[in-house]
Amino acid sequence: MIRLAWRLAFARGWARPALLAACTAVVSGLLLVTLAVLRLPAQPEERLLAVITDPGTRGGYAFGAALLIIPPLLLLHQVVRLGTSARERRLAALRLAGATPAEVRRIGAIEVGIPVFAGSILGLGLYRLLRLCFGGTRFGEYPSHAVHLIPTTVAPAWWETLLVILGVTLLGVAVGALASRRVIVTPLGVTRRAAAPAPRPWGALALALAVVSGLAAMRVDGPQAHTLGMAGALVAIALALLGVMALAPWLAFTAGRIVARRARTGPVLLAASRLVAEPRPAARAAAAVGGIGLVAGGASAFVADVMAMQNDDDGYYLAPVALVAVCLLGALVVVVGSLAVHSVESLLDHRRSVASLTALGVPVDTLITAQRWETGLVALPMALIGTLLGSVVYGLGPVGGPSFVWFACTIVGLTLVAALCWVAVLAAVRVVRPWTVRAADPAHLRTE
Amino acid sequence: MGVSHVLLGVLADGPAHGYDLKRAHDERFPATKAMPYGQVYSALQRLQRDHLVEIVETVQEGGPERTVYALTDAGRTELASWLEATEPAGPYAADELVRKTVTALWRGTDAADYLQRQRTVHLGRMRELLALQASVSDTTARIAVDHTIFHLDADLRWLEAAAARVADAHQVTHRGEAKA
Amino acid sequence: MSEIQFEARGVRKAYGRTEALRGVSLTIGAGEVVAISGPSGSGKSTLLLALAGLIRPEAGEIAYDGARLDDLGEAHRTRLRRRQFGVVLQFGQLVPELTAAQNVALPLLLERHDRAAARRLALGQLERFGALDLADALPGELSGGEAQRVAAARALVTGPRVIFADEPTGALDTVGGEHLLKTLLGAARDNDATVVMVTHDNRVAARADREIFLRDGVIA
Ligand SMILES: Nc1ncnc2c1ncn2[C@@H]1O[C@H](COP(=O)(O)OP(=O)(O)OP(=O)(O)O)[C@@H](O)[C@H]1O
Ligand SMILES: [Mg+2]
Repeated sequence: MIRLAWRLAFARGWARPALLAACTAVVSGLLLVTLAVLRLPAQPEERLLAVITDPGTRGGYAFGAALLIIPPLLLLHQVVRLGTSARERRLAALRLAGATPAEVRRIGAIEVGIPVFAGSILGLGLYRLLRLCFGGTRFGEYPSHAVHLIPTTVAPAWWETLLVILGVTLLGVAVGALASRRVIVTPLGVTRRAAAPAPRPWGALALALAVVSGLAAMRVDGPQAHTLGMAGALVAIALALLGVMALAPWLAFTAGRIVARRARTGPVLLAASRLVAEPRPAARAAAAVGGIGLVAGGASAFVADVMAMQNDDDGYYLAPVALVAVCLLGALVVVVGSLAVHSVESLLDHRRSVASLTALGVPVDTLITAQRWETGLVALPMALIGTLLGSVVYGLGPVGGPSFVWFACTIVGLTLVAALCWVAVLAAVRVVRPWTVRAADPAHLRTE
Repeated sequence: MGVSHVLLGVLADGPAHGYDLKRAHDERFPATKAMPYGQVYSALQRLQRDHLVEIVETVQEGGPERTVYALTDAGRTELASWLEATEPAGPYAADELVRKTVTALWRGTDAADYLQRQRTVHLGRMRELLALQASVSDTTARIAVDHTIFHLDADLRWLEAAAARVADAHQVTHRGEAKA
Repeated sequence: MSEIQFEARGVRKAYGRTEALRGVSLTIGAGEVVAISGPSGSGKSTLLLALAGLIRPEAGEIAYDGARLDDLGEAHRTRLRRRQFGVVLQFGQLVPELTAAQNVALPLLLERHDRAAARRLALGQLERFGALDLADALPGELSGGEAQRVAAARALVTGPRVIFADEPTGALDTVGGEHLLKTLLGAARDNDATVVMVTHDNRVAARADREIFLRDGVIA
């Protein structure tokens, strides 16, 4: 059984298992960093970034590190789904050959589990590497580098490490199962449950809850005020992220419908109708963009806040903001991966229709333009809404009222995020170009 | 007997003159030679002699006098038993097979049942031929048997297609009626 | 007559608003060779799949060896199928990532047979169907007729008691189809296996002991 699953896991080449392993490596590495930070004593015996040293902000730092696992998890989900139709065909054929549903599920789990397990162990190495490059320096020792982000005097306990490895493996397998949950594998090919209903803006509910818990967090007082306030704020941030990302399918669907009605050119119509027909895959790929926007928006309002204080910031506030910016850029790179993987997936699944379009005389460039529109139509609105939300909520909440600086910072933030997002879309489509050209080969009309 | 049974089949739809009978025959078998009047009248005479048809009236509409024939009860029974009986599956019954099938289909009522039984007869014959083919060792002989098998197969396919076309036509008329 | 192996009563199956089977009742004796024929869309494949336990009818009963097949759990039915039934379908039945030989060995591997033994048996079956030289080809590299031969080899590899075949000769020319059918029926006779096959080909139907003719989802 394992041998069979093993063979199937690598039958389509190494790209998929390698990507799966890379995603989980980042996840488990980040979780180990989070755990290490949480292990720090009240007075760390090493030199670290101020926000880590200060027990008051340390929780937020750890929280941020943990949040960074979202983009790679979304990418993981994306990669698991890569070549969905081929996988479904394979699982159905296995069922026909006499594999029971449980056996097929087990084969699927092993197939994802092997690379994911390897990845979560690799995460240990990633954590070591990060520690080596960005570790804190013991007091009295001469610092070999400038940035101190990861504690070196403490490390996760052995059982915590084990837990992370097992947990991340399970998480990966669960994401894998989630990706195929809509599919009842029958021996006769795959019957989907009734066509998925049009997405609804439930994410707005989470956003409303986020605002409520955020406001509540600011108003608590009493002996536990600080802890409660902190917890409330973190809950609010988590809910807001969840809400923005949950809005993605609805946004993709709505944007697709509006644009499809007004589309003047072929590629635009093609892109918009694809979004209407299947809003979820594109939304999944672009979901992280909303989260990035949200954090970026919050950060720009925060910068406005810091600038308004007009005292001499010795980097206490601005250094973490720079760190956040770097992390957001990193997340954006992962998003490029997500968008690219989404495009490849959609190309693989629609190989025949893509080939028949070229056979009808649609040039490859038109197909590429359509891809750009398809990803852009979801990613850009997500980015803008996320940024605006982050900036407005932070700006109107803690800061208490719009100011000119806030306004300026928000505009700068919006422009920057939109530009970066567009760059991400262009990069993703560029990365996918070879696949597009290959998929457009009318030879696919003959095969399969 | 051939043609006379076809005429019985036409008369089953109601009384008709000789000329109507000829026209109906030609309409039913457009791919065959048109039936000469002479053959119609000699067949009708034979049928009348055997009490399978009878003259119901003679009308005069300007032109020549016309005799209207109708089916007798004996004729009805004869038609039914002819339609009931399957034809031997080849090698020379093909014409009779066509006549009977078309007549049965025009009758409409139990055509499907007839076709089914005819199919069984043909399949039985094919089974014999396949056994025969397996028993001969000479390739040329096998090929010769192939020829008969393929013709039998063509007959079977034709029977199926006939049934399918009838079903189609029924659907079309029903739909037409439903719309009207 | 031999003992009754399959007994179907009032079997109905609809796909959405299409009624594929509208009350089919039949019995099939052990060791019998039965052909299911009828016009396209008359429900032949649906009946075959229901008898093989691959789809569940909405109403009616299907008994195999005196026990209800249609209300058996999915895993149970699958195991029964892989031990006692061999299935050859119209298309889409080989695992695209496995070679022909691995595909043929698959039912044995799922039954946890030794790998070397499974491969040996698989090669033997492929040879029987004149497909030994295809052993290491992937399904994507096979022609339609070749894939059908590989599928037939897989259906026989466990020595099944019942062989189900949906248009087993559909992708083959007359002589090739004859060869495949002879091998299939010969193997079935050696094992005293029952054969249920759907076919459009009258020559194939004539090789059966009995024909079941479907029209519009009922037996004509
Ligand atoms: N999965 C399905 N979903 C919807 N309708 C189906 C499905 N499978 C079969 N049908 C319908 O059920 C009816 C019977 O199908 P079935 O495949 O049993 O026909 P068949 O007799 O095998 O035809 P053929 O000779 O063309 O293979 C057809 O009208 C078909 O359209
Ligand atoms: Mg079929």
